[in-house]
Amino acid sequence: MAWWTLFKRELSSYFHSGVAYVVLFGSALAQGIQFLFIASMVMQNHYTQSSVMQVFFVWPLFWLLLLVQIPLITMRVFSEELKLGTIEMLLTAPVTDWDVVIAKFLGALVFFLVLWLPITLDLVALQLFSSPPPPVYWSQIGLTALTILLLGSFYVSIGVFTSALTRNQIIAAVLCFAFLFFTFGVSLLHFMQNLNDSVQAMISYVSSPEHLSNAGLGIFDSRPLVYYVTATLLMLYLAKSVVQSRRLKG
Amino acid sequence: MKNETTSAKSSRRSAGLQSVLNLALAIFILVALNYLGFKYYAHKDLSASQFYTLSGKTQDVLKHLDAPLHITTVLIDKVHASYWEQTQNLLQEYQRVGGRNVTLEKVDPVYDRARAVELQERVHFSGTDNIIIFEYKGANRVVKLDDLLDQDPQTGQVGGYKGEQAFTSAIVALVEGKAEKVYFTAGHGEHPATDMTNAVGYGLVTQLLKGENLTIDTLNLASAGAVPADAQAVIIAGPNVAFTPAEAQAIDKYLAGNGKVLILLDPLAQDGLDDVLKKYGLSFDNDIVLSRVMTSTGQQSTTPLAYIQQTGFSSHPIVAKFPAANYALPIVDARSVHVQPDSSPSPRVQPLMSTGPEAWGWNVQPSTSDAELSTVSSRTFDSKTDIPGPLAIAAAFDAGTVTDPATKAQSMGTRVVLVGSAHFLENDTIQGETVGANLFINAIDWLVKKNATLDISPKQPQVYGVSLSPMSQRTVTWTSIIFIPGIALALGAFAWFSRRK
Repeated sequence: MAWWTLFKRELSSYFHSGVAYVVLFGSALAQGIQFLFIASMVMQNHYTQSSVMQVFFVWPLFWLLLLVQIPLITMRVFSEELKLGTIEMLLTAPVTDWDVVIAKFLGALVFFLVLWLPITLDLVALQLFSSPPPPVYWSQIGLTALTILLLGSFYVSIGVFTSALTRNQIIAAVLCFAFLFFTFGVSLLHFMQNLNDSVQAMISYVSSPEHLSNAGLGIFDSRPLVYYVTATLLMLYLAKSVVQSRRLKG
Repeated sequence: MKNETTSAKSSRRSAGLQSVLNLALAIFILVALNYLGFKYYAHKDLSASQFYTLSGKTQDVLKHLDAPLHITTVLIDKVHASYWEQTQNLLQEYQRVGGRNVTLEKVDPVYDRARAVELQERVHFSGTDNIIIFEYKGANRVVKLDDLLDQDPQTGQVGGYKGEQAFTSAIVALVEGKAEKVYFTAGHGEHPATDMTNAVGYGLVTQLLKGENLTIDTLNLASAGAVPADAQAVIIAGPNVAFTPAEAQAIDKYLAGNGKVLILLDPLAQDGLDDVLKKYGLSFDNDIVLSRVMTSTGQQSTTPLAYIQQTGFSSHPIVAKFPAANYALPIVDARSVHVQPDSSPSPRVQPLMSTGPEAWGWNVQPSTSDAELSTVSSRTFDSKTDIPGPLAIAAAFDAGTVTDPATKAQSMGTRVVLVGSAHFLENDTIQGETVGANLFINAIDWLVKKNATLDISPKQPQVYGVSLSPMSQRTVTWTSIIFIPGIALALGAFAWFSRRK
């Protein structure tokens, strides 16, 4: 259970940092503004066939926020320890490389999920104050939450990996952003005309906006599940390999 | 010492090699798992409305395709593209179920003009509607987005979405290879259906029907004795000799068996079908529609003109989009159509277009002399004999959906469209005239396109929308941008003070 102890330490380190609260505040404000804008558009019947939640998670600002948030959350997980030299203590402690990587990954993932709590509260407020309250479709909500968790895991694992590569937090953040932007950018190829069906299918397979859009419609598909779980495991394996090589270089 | 260094290097090299091999293995496993996950997957529509769940009938049709089915969506009018995204999602379901045999293409004329032009030349669509083209074994079917929605013309509220019904009907028609056949009657002085050279021919307007994937044939009832079984509709285009009782009986029998008929009749002409049409609450008045107009010299004059203004079109599907398109239709030499009053909530008989109240119907008979007819310009409304405006110039009867008691299959019942003029569609008149041509195309489209309906129920769209009172709106605003971000700040301050202590 060494990973559990490390995980608690990692998580509490987030909530002891002032930057975390600034990020949380900025995130809540950005989500609130975006939420109000979309809610007013739905009220004016600009979106008659979609709920506020559905529109929120396909809105470009959501993706921008996500692509900025992840590097900010993950840039410090290894880089800071490398810079301060505290990584030596960790690596010489009776814990495995996997314990370290999993604890840091879960710590970042939980903080990432906390950053998205404000939109949940916004939606609950809307539900409470609407008259009549809009219908609640649990399958759509559940699938959207699951997709956020899955893609969040993948994106956070990318951040954990890039943070393990360098002691410089800025470089870690830039690398993470570039990696995420590439991953997200592939889905934009969907808009290109004259792509053949196989290419279209492959783009759909890795397209996070499409996964989230389908989840919002209440459509369950096992393909994104396989994609995110395996991609997350690969990224964590890479991170573990980097940590292992550092231990070997000792 | 040297041996130790060599051993350490060797050990490190072997660990490095081990890492590379492990990494290669991990990537291989990742690719293999994703390949399998891509090929074998679970997919389920868990939405409350089951909007994207295809019926057994559709799945059966798609799984038994023996040639590629290519589906192209063409988004022309982005402003009126309600349910376009849902339609795209539904078609993706068709592609998913159909597998390799179904290909899907999206064409946006703004970005891919060449492809749009090439399609338009090949498929002959109107270029004003958002459409979905189904192509199979060299034949095609075009489905309009507007035809997928059961929409209240007054409120715009969508009562049902018939995407699956329309798409599967189109695919079934393509698979069965049935061409929808429209017959133009002949032998009564009708306008020649496909004649492009004759000034009074209908060649130009019937050419537009190619886009509707219809086969046009001529029907001489005197020799055929009955309307052929493959007739999707019969068009009686401006006869000047009345149908014989035997011919009228053939039309009557055809209509009784859920037939579809379009009759265009000029003033003074007789079609001999009065008794048949009365069964459907429709008849042609024996009149010429007249209007008072201002001449170039500033004097009032009466002219045989039926002017249909933008507001003169009804909410019937044939003409429902005309007011929004600012359409107006002037018809010289028209007769009015009498519509039996029907006050039921969903009337079976409806006018399609009407003149304003300033027009009136001059009661004339075939026996009216030429000398009398030449006095039109000086005529005024005679309340004893003339018909006061507004006057219906076209009307339609719709029996709705009928269910076969034996097979329980649903199909469209009898449909009749009457238009009180025939010459406005002649080659000489129709050139450059969009409204008349659209009226003709839409009428035929309405008569034939919805014939083949399958036992697939329209989907009820999920209801969304937010309704907040001004007070609630303020509360939600404060909660979202003050209260919730404030909690984050308060927690931060709390953490900071705790650490200082």
